[in-house]
Amino acid sequence: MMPRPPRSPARSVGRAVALAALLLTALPVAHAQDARALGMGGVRVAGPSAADVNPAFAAIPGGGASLTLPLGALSAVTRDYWDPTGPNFDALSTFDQASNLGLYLLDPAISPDQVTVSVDANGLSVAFQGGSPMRLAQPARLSEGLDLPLGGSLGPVHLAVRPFLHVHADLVPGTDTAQVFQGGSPSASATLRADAEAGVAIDVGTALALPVPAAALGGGQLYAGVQGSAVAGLARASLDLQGQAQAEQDSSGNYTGNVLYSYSGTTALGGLTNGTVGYGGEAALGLALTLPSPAGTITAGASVRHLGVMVWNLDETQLQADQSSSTSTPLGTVQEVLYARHVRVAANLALDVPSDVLSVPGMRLLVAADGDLDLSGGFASHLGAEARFGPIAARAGVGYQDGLRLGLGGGFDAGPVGIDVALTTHRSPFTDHQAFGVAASLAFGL
Amino acid sequence: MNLLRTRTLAPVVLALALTAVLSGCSTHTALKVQADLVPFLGAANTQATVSYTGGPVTLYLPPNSSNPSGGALIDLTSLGVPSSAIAAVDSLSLDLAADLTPTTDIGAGTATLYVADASAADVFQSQYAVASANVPALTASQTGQVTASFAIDAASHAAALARIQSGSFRIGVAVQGSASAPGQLQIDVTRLLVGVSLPPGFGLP
Repeated sequence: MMPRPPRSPARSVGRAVALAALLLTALPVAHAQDARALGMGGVRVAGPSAADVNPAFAAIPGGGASLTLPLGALSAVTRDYWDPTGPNFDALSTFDQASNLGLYLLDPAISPDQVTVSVDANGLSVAFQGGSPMRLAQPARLSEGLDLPLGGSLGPVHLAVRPFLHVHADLVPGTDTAQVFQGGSPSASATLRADAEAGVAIDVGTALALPVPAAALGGGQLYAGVQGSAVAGLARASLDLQGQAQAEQDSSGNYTGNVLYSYSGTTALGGLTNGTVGYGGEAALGLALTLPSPAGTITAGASVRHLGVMVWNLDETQLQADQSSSTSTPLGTVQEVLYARHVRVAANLALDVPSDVLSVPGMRLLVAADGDLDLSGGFASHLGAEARFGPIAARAGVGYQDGLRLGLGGGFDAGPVGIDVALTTHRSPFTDHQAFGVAASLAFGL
Repeated sequence: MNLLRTRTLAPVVLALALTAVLSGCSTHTALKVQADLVPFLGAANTQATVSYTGGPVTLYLPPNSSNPSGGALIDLTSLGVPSSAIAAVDSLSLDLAADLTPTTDIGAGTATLYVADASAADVFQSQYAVASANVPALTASQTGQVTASFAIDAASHAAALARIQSGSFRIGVAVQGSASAPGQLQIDVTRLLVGVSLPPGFGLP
């Protein structure tokens, strides 16, 4: 028997990370889009599983919690693009899959076969051959969060302790930089703002049916929900940089051969790094209305989330550099008060059509749409439908969420536990590649 | 004449960093850096008028006015590429185009690429010759374009590639022909496109 070759440390680390990710992503039960939502193009449907979008949804009967299976972690076993020491390591594929651990990506984005950097009379240009079509001329936004709510309900009150790690980054290339990827430019500029925070939050929330006479609402029912969070910040790092480079030209317009570049900005570190703890809180408010109609039951909801403030004591450093010098100047410890940084406003609308209206025995049809606006930038909207035939569901939908998103899905309700699966697409980061992925969720109490 | 001085190609450094982070950190992604050096040289180093005698004629390109046999010094380290990556350069290409206007006829000849050590005083020595290409005949008082393309890799030019992999080297092209009579030649180099290719992984650890 041939001896088994030793496993590389990097591969072992990769598998360990994948396993850890699997465990971590299995914990948050009621967050993010589950397979049911993905099968409907990403639309969130009123019910407890969508309480993270609208806290009032927790009070609406029907539906239940869902557990999205971290199928993406399987790629650590089935694919070799994770292995940095292997011949097929691909950073872009790895990033695409790692940022979508709820999906098993069938065709993640692929790095170019060749990158050609050219300098000529037009300045600098960069071209890519092979791989997924790169999309570096557009602003890039990274917003990832890992929340691990551990708790449960105590009567009408929901309590949870929620460790979290949130990362936000915005890279905005200047128009001249965009030209670098589209034919050439003598200059390039960009702004980078990034921050990462980690800490622990204590969430307290409740949702209830408001005692409004049904007659006043046309036979409908109004629900309200609120969630408050007290947050202890354990670590924060932020970076705010503006940079540019310019090919120097003489009075005749000829290149001198020199490039003038500069960047400036600040870095800030706080929390455990300087012995302080950030503190603050945030709130989410939501309303929902269910309304009977001749066509079926209409459910509408509106919410505002992430209303809050955080206070940090940060050690700031001013950075300044150009082609001849660079300085790094400590600015001391400053108190940073951050208000409502990532406030989101969402609206949902759904129509649940029963079988008697459809004139199809045993069939129900749900049509739903939603919109979610991040006031700091970014918008998502989805439209989807679900047809139920007894315990079996079929779904389809379309959405816009960092690019076009399509979904097809199905489900089987076995009583207290059901399973949902979805085939979905998303636009891979930094590219125009539409990647297909498979998701699966367990549904409870459907 | 150091064509690629430090900071000259700072945007290349930025682009390298960007592409390395976003896409180059993949073991199948190769990198090619190419620069048309003519815009950086200016007219003083790309245009010249030289005299020649009848019979065999040799022209040295680019027309380095301060050191005619010095060719062009290329310092890859100024690209900001780590030395380990420079050592992994697996090929170099050179595309040359020049408009030549002689006052007398010059017969068809050859263009020969030379790659020498950075310290070489005379690039155009036989031990530095790498490859040759044919050039057409030039007619008196008419502008003819001479183009030549060269490729250097380990299989065909190991010694030259080793000089390139040192990170700093000199290149030059000698155009040889036979003039029908003494005269003068106007030289206008219109393209001097140098490209270096790095293997997948860029040779980085």
